[in-house]
Amino acid sequence: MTEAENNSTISAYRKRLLWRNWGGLILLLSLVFLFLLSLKIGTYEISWSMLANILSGNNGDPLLAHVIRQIRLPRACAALIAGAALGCGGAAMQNVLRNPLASPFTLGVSQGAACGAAFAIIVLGAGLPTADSLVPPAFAPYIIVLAAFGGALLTVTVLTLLAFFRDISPESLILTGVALSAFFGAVTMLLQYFASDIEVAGTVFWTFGDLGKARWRDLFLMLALLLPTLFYLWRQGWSFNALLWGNETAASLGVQVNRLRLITLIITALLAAVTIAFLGIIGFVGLIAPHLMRPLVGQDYRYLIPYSALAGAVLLLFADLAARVVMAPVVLPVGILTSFAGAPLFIYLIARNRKNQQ
Amino acid sequence: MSLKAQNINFTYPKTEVLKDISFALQPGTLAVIMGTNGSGKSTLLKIINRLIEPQSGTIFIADNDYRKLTRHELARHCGYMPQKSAAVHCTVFEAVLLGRQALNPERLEAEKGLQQVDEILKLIHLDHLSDRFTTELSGGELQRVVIARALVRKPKILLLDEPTNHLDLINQLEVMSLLKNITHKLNLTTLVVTHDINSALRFADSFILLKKGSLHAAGPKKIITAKIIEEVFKLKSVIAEVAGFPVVVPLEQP
Repeated sequence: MTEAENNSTISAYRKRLLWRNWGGLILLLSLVFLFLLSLKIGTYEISWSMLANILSGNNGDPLLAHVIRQIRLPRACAALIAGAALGCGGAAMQNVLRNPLASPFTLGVSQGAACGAAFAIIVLGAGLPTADSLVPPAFAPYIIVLAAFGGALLTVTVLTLLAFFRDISPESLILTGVALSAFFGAVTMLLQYFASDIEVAGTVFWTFGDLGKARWRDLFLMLALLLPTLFYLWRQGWSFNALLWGNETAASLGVQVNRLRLITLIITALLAAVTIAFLGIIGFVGLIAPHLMRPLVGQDYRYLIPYSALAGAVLLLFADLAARVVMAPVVLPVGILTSFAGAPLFIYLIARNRKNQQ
Repeated sequence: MSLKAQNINFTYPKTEVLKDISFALQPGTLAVIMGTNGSGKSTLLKIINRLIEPQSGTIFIADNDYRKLTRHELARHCGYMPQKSAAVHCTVFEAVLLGRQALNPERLEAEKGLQQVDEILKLIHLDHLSDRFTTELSGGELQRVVIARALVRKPKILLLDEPTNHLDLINQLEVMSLLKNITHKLNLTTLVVTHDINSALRFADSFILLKKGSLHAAGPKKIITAKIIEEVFKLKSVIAEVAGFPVVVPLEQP
């Protein structure tokens, strides 16, 4: 027997990993390409060489340089960061909640954030600061972000408490998400009913997930939260794999199950809450990204976590490009596009799940 | 590694499950826990693996109180196989590798780990299925994957909850004889919950009989008599020898 035959099990495993690595490389290359494309395409169409010049700093046209550096670059970076945050967060949430349908959007976290924002805009008067609003004009944008964050956190707390202390089933958790969405929707509507036209417009515009909202400062904050979270989740890859086999198996393999689930839920919710607070509601990216990667890497969370982050970024960059091109020169909020694409997929996943259970 | 249970008591909110259980097992022993449904067999196994905490009493692993061990250290000593395992969309190789890597994620692809998986797959005759997804396996094959995963990190204590459940006759025999072989070859302390008294009589070295949460009897094969079986299972029987193996034949319809 030759050495190769002797270790056929190992070589088959290595071959599988190799395919995954190639897949990852292709994903990374498409990410870079889409990133550059989103800098190039827009109302001012520029050539690749001009783009290279502007990015390297020796540009000719100051107006174009401004467009690229101050408008398109933060927008593309926002897509990159938010997409990665939603993607890896969705994958981790789906694992610890044992639910393929889990994501910030389907669990009601986004609607909680929207309700918080509506509260800040209408009750605290942070949307259009006037003399009688409760917050100083300089702090108004931060108050909205904080309130949105609070709304998201409230939703997550309710879900976490239910998941841990009542140990409810995955399906019930999604239904709880639906109930929470309805509740926050009702609160938001109630607030809007008593609000002025301008305030209503303010809340509605806030809910449109829009990558153009982000400023460099916001992006740095999001990135500062994304990187350690991503690193932690990636390091827990084997533990997530163990969790797939059930709590008992995971514990018997040395995983501190409750601690892992709790930490994961809190940090992914935090990440989602911050993303939503700065950019508005961007639905379905967190749900879709992991599902797109599963055919490539299976349920191997060593790969699924980073690949879902990459896939989320690719999805959001692509959706944003589409949002800018479809009705040009009108730029649609990217959240509308992701929801258009995501909703049918969500229904498909439910149907597939049902079929698997039968 | 020796395994000793000392005065284990456990109560679920409304019912008492285990009452003052004590026993000791030496390395190189294949022991079975038997008893009627609801007698607390699985609960006892979970307590030994510290998946649930007893209200009082403790377990000694090689004379060390297991409450002083971390989850990680305990996992190094004990391989555990739960009663039910649903397949996961990963290959057999990955499923077995998990048994080792969940413990040391730092050394991700360490060559030694891969070699260990390869060895164990061959030992349990799973090497031809190595690259198949566990979702495509039969019940018996999946059962063997789970046993392989419990074995791959070379624990000194092996705890298995009904490992022959859902297996056909040939697979039951294969699994039990495998457990007996590795227990003796690797000098393990193996504890198996089972309902199959005949395969237990054939393969096990030691018996732990539970009745309504209490330890009714414990000891080597010779303690299993028609009288004990009647006391524990409320069933009259005779023990006959067939082809050199003791076989319990029930005498009446319960």
